[in-house]
Order: sequence, then C-alpha cells, then structure tokens
Amino acid sequence: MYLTEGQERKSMEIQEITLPVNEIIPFSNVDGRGNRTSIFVQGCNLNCVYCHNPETIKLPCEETQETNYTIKELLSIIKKYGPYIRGITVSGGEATLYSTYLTQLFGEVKKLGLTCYIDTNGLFNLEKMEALIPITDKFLFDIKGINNLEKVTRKKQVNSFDNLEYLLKLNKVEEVRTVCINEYIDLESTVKEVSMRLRKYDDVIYKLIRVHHRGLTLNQKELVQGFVPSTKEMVHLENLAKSIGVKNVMSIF
Amino acid sequence: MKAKQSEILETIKSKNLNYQQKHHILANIAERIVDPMEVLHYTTEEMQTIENSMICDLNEGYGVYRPRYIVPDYAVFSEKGCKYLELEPPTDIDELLDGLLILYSHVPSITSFPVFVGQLDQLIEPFITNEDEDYIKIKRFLNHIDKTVPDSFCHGNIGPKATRAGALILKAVMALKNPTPNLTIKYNQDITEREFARLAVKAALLAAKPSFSNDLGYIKDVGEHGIVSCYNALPIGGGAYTLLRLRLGTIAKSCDSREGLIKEALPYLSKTMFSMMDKRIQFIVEESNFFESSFLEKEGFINSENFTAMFAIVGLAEAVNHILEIENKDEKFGQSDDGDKIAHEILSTLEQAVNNHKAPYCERTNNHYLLHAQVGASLSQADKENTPAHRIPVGDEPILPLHLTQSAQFHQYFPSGVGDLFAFDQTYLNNLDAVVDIIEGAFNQGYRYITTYLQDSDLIRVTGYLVKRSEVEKARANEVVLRNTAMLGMGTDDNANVFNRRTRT
Ligand code: SF4
Repeated sequence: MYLTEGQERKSMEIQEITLPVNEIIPFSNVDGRGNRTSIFVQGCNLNCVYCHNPETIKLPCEETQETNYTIKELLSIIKKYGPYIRGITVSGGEATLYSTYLTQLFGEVKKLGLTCYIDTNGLFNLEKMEALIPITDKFLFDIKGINNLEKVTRKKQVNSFDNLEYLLKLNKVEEVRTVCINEYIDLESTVKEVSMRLRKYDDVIYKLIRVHHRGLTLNQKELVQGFVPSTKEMVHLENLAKSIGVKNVMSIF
Repeated sequence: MKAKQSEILETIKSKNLNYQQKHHILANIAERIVDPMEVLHYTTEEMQTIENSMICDLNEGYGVYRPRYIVPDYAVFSEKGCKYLELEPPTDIDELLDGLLILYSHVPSITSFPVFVGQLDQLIEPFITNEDEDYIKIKRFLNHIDKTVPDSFCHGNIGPKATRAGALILKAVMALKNPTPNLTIKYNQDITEREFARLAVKAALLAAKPSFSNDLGYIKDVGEHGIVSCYNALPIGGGAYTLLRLRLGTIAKSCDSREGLIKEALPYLSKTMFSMMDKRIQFIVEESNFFESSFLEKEGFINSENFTAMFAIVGLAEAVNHILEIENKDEKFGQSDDGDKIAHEILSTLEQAVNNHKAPYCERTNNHYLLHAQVGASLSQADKENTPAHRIPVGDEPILPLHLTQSAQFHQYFPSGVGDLFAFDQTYLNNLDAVVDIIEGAFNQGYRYITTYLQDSDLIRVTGYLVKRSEVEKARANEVVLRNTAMLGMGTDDNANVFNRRTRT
C-alpha cells in the first residue's frame, strides 16, 4: 500500500517524535505504589512559587537542558529496569503537555507488562487527553487549591476539580496531593473541598505536603518563608480530612 | 594458618577479650598447633597454597573434631524430646522454648556456638495459644539467644507461609534490634502472603533482618534446607563438614594471562583445595569419632548422611579486574560487559571442576561439594585484596537496577549460598511494596538471596552477619565487647569500607 505524502510524513513524525526529559529516576518509591521508574518531562504550564523542580518549568528552548528521547530510546531504558519495577510514572514539569507521545509510549510499555502512571497538576484539556486517559492506569493528581490560584501558580487558570471528578469516576486516581502553604490559598476550604470528593473513594490517598524551602531557589525561598504551616496546623488539616471521611490521609513533612 | 606458640600467651594476656572469647581462641590455637602434615597428611604443595594466601582455611584448624556447620532438625525435639538431655517432648510454649535453649548450648560448630537455631515459626506455631502472652515469651527467648550466643553467625528461619508465630517473631525482632539470632525468611512469591512480606520488609528496614531467600531456587538445588550462619543453604538434619576458600584475587595476580588463570592456576588450586577438603572430611568421619559420640546423631537431630562441604571463593572482582588490566581494558568489574564474561569463565571453570570431583561422604549432594560465595573475613593482609564473594567493591557499584542485574547472573553458580545486600534510605518505610517489588524482581532474575537494611541504623550488616556500629566503635577503642563479630566487623570495615556502602534512594 502506498501512502500519500501527507500520510507518509505523519507516520514518520510519529516514529520520530521525542519527549523532552529533564531526568529519569530508575527506582522511585514516592511516585505511586510499589517501585516505579519516574520520568520527569521538561516544560510546565504553571509556575508555582514552591515548585521543587523549577528547572523543569521552562518549555524546551535553547537554554533548557533536557534530553530528547524517541520512544524506542526511552523503551530500551525502561526495559533495563523492567524486572524490578511495577511500572513507570511520567511526572514533570507537566506530563500531559505531551499526550500524543505518551499515548504511544504507554502502548508499548504495557506490552512489557508494566503499568503507566501520570503525575499531573490537573490543568489539562480533557479533549486532548481522549486517547491518553484510557491507556493510563492511574493518575497522581495535584490540587493546588481552591482560590487565589494565580498567586500560587502565577498563571491564569481554570479550576481543575472537574478533571479530578472525571478521573475519579473512571477509578483512575491513585493519590491526590496538596502542597500546604499558608495564606496563598485558603487551606481549610481546599482540604474540605478535596475531602468531600474523595470520601467516596476508599482507595485514593490524600497527601498533605507541608511546603518547605529545602532545595528552592533564593527567590522562591523569600516567597515561601513565613508561610510554612506549623506541625499543629498540619495535624489539624489531616484530622479535618479524616473527619470528612477520607480513609487514607498522609501528612508529609 | 598454623598457630604459633606465642599466640597462646598473647591471647591469655589480651585486654580486650572477655573470658569466653579467650577460651574459644585458646581452643582454636590448640587445633591449629597440631601439625597438618602429620594429622591430616597435607602435602608440602598444599601447605604452600595456604602460606601464599591463595587458599584460605578460615582458621578451621587441623585437629578437626566437629563439622563446621551443623543444621539440626529441631522438629525431632517437638516430637520426641531429647533422651540424652532428659527432656520430655514439650507440651506448651514454655517447655518448647526452654528446651530449645538447652539444646542450643549442645550444638557444636566451628565457632562453638550454634549456627542454626531452627525454622522458628514452624517450631513455635503449634504452641501458640495466646498471642499477647506468647509474644512476650518469644521476645524473651530471642533476647536470651542474643545474650548467650554472642556470635552473629547464629541463624534462624521463618516462612515461606505466614504464621502467627512468624508475625510475632518479626514484631519481637523490631522491638529488640539485636544482632543475634540472624534471621531469614524463605520467600516464595506464590506462597508467602503479601502482608507477611511487607511486615518482613519493615523488619528488615528497621532491624536489618530478616534477609530474603529464594526458597524455590534453593529447594531445587539443596532440597530441604536451612539458611544458616551468614546465608549458607545447607541440608536440614545435616550441615557442612568444612569450608575452604580460594582467594581469586590473589590467585589471579600471580598469573600474567587469562589462559594462565583459567587453564593452569584454577585447575591446580581447585585440585589442591579438593584434596585438603577430602582429607579434613575423612578425619572428621573416620578418626574424630564425632558422629559416634554425638547424641545429635544418635537421636536423629542430624544424620551423617546429610552432610556436605563448601567449596568457596572470594575476590572475584579483583581477579576480573586484574585480567581486564592485563588485556588493556580500561574497565572495572561491575560496570563492564567484558568483565562479566571473564567472571563467567572463572566461575564455570570452577563449577566444572567441582562437578568432576568425587567428594567423600557427600552422598546428600550427589558426592559433590557445593560452590559457595563466601563473604569473607579479615584473617590476613590478602583479604584486603579480595572483595567478599562475587560482590562489586564498595565504591564501584553501579546504580541499583544495574547492580541487581549484574549480580543476578552469578547467583546460579552457588547452590550453598550467595547473597547481595543493599542499604536503603528511610523513605522506603513509606512504601514497603517498593522493596517487595525489588526483591521479587531480583528473584525472577535468578537471585538466591538478598538483604536490605537502612543505611543510618545502628545495626548494620557487614557481610552476612550483623554488628552494631556502636559496638564496633567500642572495639576500636579497645574496650571489651560481648560479641566477637564486632571485631570481625571492624576488620571488614577497615578492609572494605562496608559502612559506606552506596545508599539506595
Ligand atoms: S505544576 Fe508542578 S511542575 Fe509545574 S510549576 Fe507547579 S509545582 Fe512545578
């Protein structure tokens, strides 16, 4: 069968598309259950004040230092770690920016008997994720907050609760996370709002992560300092989530 | 090594040995003072291989009067009690644990302490009546062993099935954080319940035990077995007469080509070591009257037909590195495909030699010795140049997944025991499944045995045994310590820097 020129170019593109990767962690025990290989993509649609991987925010450009992997190249790395892991987790930056690539990659990774997770900030367009969601086993879902989001993420954005709700209904969420930072967002209301949604889903973990300044840039430190919740405040939030009926709450300091 | 008479007074006058340690060392000197050429009929050539450090007899001595490792079948006690010790079969957990403690003090070994205390969960499970009370008893029992068997080569087993007793043992191990007894869970992905596996991992991270052994793999090669001493898999109701080891690093350095090592040195030294092992075993069986005089044999705790012996190696890394150097390859064992090939060549040469040698009194293992990856001791200068077993020297380790794959390929050669160990960081406590994944992955890749612990805990695994960092520091300061393994740990750390093993994060 002959392909038209357009089709041909398209099929070549598919073979040659690459993923800008900032870092690969062969063994990770914090990106989903069990042992997983974590792939951190370059590029994010937000710019959070407390971002721990600020170097992954910039979209690929001349100054960023990502490595571009074809699917084949990435697969050969994953295969090396394959015997000891349960699957891979693509994190970021923001993984969902690369949904076409990931859809194909996940198709191949599944053939190895491994599971595929996405760690997301929740800000994605559901339509663009049509193909990716079915092939993704689980999402780790960041809920930045319920209000004042521009202040935390320094981007204008829409609320991601609808996306969360959608994935929850599909049973595709393994954990939800909120980085706890005082004053930037209304923490209590955020935790309440998330908990109301999670209480029906016994298996979903809710991680409350206390913002901290280890590893932040100087500029970030200034922005975060003074807004770190106390241990008492963290315990209060944890209890709040539990009292609303979330089974699996974890505070991370 | 043959003892010098001066060792006797040196030992007697030592400031940092306690009474019991002096006693044992004096007995060992006595064994090494008899002339191996006279008693065992060692030849001059054989003596030379000991003197030039190519073969190491681990100070086992020459007037051998008991097998090196004894693996009693303690189930005999539950069933029949012990006539010699005038013990009736136990009727409750108290009589069981008490009886076992009595038995342990009558089980000899190369260290004079029992190297195997039984398949503890299986022994205890039928006697569990009240978990809260029984937990306290089990904990006291384990603590008793730690204080009276001050030698970390003492080993108990649990698994593969989850039992109440097994869970109580793990709980006690976490509470006690004692070096002794060492513990292994015989693991079988299809039999060991996930929850039990997670509990075992938790204990491993918090108390540096249990280790995990690939039960199916060992059953295939050794049959019904116990994991004893460091991590040796030996027949239950039997054991190992002796263990000698080839220092592959030292041997390779005397060779100036790969051919020379594979075709000349290894065949010659294997032959020499076989001959020495044969002679030792013949002496134990035919002349020492051990089996004739032991109640363990008479009452069925052991059966002389279940004994075998271990043909061990150390220093694979140095041997390979030497050959790589001769061949002008700027690579190191652990991170070199060529290096792995050389290692296979060395090990398959030895495997073949072992399979071709007919070993006396080793019916249980088809009249062959079992290859063993020995983790070493610091008996001489030569040990500094011989990394334990088949392991990658500390500092040259690749990242964990690649390290696992690299080492997995060599586990097949060692039916009587081989093991790797990895230090993890605190974060794994929040995701025990991640460790279970790694262990199961390793077993699927051919691993026989794997040990993990937390890098920053006081209890640390040196090679196969455990020591407390704090005790090693005391030993360094010349204080008297309870456990002689603290001294060995100090030596091994000085040689191999094991306290600084790469942490896996
Ligand atoms: S969404 Fe995540 S990666 Fe993106 S800026 Fe915020 S914290 Fe950083």
